[in-house]
Amino acid sequence: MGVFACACTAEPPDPSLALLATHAGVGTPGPDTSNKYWNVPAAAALGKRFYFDTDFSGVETAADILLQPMTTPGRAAAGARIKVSCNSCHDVTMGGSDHTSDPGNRVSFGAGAYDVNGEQTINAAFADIIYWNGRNDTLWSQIVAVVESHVSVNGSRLRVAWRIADAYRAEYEALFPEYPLPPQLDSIAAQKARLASDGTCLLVAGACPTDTCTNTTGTCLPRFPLEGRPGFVVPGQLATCDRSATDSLLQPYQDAYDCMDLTDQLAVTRIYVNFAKAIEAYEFTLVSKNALFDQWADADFKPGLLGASPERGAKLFVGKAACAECHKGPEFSDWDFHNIGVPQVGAYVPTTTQCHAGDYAMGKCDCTTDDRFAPTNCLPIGARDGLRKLQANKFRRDSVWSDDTDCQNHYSLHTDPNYTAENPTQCDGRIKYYTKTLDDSLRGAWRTPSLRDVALTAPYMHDGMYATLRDQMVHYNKGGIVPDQGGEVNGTIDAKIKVLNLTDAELDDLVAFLQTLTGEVDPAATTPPTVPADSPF
Amino acid sequence: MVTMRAFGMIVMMAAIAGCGDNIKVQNDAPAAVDAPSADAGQTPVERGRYIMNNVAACTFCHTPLNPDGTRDNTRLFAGVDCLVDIPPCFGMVGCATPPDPNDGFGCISSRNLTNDATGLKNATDAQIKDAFLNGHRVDGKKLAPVMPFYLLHNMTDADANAIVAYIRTLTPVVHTVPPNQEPWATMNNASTDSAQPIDPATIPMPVASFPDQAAAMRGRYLTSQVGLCIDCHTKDAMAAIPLDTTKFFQGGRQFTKEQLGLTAATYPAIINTRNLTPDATGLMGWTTQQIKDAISKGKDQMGKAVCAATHGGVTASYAALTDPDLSDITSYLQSLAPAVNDTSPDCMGPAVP
Repeated sequence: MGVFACACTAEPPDPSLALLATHAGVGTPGPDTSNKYWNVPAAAALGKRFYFDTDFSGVETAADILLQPMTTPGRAAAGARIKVSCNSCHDVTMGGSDHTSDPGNRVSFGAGAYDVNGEQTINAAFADIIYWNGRNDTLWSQIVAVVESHVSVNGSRLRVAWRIADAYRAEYEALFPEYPLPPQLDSIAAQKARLASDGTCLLVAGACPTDTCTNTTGTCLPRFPLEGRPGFVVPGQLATCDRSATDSLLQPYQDAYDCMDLTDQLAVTRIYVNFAKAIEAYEFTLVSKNALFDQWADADFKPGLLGASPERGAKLFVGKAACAECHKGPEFSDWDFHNIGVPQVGAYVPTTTQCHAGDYAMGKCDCTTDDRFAPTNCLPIGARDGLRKLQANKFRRDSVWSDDTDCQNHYSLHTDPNYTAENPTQCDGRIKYYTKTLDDSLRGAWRTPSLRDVALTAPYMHDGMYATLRDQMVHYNKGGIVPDQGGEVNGTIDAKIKVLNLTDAELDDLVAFLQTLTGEVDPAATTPPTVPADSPF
Repeated sequence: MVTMRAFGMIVMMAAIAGCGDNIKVQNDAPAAVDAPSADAGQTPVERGRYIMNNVAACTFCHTPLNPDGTRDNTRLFAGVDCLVDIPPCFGMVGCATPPDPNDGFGCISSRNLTNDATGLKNATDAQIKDAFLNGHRVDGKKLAPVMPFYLLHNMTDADANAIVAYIRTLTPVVHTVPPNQEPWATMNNASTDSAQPIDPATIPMPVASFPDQAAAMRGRYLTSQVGLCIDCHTKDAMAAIPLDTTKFFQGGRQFTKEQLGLTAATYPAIINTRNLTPDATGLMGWTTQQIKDAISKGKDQMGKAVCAATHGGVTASYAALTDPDLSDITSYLQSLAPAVNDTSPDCMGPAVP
């Protein structure tokens, strides 16, 4: 019987190979119309130095995302410099992921405790929408957000501007001739010589020196303080200058930024955006390719090349385990949002019950108020919160900070669902998110991560609740229900998440397959650059 | 075919300005100048900033709002798409059709004034002044009288130059405003100006008995020649001069609550502007401080919010008026001859702190 069945005709092709072929071959990311420097080599080179520079970071806040004091040790003592660079938590030799956080807490630590685990920067340039919850539509706007975040870099746009003026002036001015540094940004030492210990300007001949300082608020203040970022403002209210504000996470640096003249605020924000665009240009060079899986695909999936277990895992990946339902294409991601039943669990991972009505006015979170244009920071609900933030995001592709002039010109139409439906390619296609209906299907949904280099990116899931690939595979096998872990599951689990009935051996095979997705990054992109000595802040 | 009279009705009901038949080529005679406000050593750029953001509050129409209702300061003076929309039935009171931004009719946008090629970067100083003083657009077309050039015509040369100096400093914003729809496009393309400047001699003088004539005259300039109080607080007219020149400052101009950005059902559908003369139907009995608070904080005599977004709230431009200017404006209003014009009921919002 067995003999009869073979040799006469060729075996029908294995259908799973055609499916696997759709995952092969990493391309080249881009273009990013919102960043005209995205593929400028000089921008990538400068961005690489920024990426590795620890002098943009601020001090330890020892606070979590809800401004509560951390209960475990952070990176440094509260108030001490954390001295981190982008590379500290997104190590480009390790999948661009975080290998520094306390594994017991699962989430990433910057200046404080995040509510999520850090995402990869390797291959991030392929992403259609950025961050676990989709709050940004460009890498540069994501950088703009994290560099001033009190749980992340805890820097400030004024620090960035002064650091650039002090340590990167020639490179910056060569790259951004349209945006010359204001003459007041001469050097940190010169600025410090102009200031009294309380940060106000020393008077010159009894008068406020109006070239470098301003009297607009009634106090002689530097036009460009050494540190400062926008204070917290409840949507619908005005940012005000309050010099008496206590230095706090909500009004950092005694409100120094909010007390600046608008024109100077816009000038310093432009420098900050250019800084972020240069880093994005560098991130466009961080491409992981030529993984063992790709080599196998190039060899027409020659049996035995990958190894028996990974090859079985590969077929399960596109077959019985149905991973490819969401982990599609060469990036192994559909860049869409799905609720896969991961609970909010962990000391620093907020639940909706921690986010009360009115708490947002104190800079925390509110999961009871639901206003599209006044996002109230309901972090536990994932994309339902993140896309709402994107819809009110002031650093979007249609903002004045973007280089996509067509997208920018039509910004006022980006609240009209008819317009966005009729112009689907505008804003590099991200326009679809601007009027996306924020329904309950997004509640508890998080963005599908790429699986390229996934073996390097532990822990897994948005809140890092699984330490190993094997653990997270068990999650899927159970159909996403994990009653033993506690925590809060928000929203409704996606219908695609089902009990898979995979055997232990099959789970091992899937893990073995995922380990073949670790690729190579051009060493020229990952070799650490020289970074200027710290500036005398 | 839309008649010119219909245009006037449109504009009146849009409650922006009036215009009408018999429009004449505007008078090019030099503007008569009252006492300009003391400028306390400001540079022209600072003076221009103050006029455009606070006194004339150009920012009110030329800067878009964020979705949360605050002003989008990243797009300061970058123009607003479809600033005003009127429905095809011309927005007459009782018109059943609400404005529809997609109906291809009725949208007028404010220009991008920033220092970008899509704004005024390539316009000459003379062209910019000809626009805001005379209603002649940089591209040779005519401004619709939604833009109050017929009032700004009467500002001093120094203030006009200060405005230009400030415009040159505006952070460039790329923003091509869409073309205006009808009926505005016809006005833009007309060979004649859409409105005639107000003859400054017709703006009321302080009554002779008012003690501080100099202060009142400074207030007259601020309210009527470089500022726009006179525009909303005078009944509009379907005439070459789009205001009823016999009823200056007597209030009674009508706005729909939507035009004032008021959405709550508690507000009346139509809101009358207040009679500002010291009559019993006007500001008689208001203290100087109460008048100043109404202008700058949007707080009426009862401590409630007035209904105009120009006064109070997060977009209030008049909050940053200097105290001397507020005093001069108040002096002028107190110096007006009382005129009877009952504009009640007053529109009252929530209490103002």
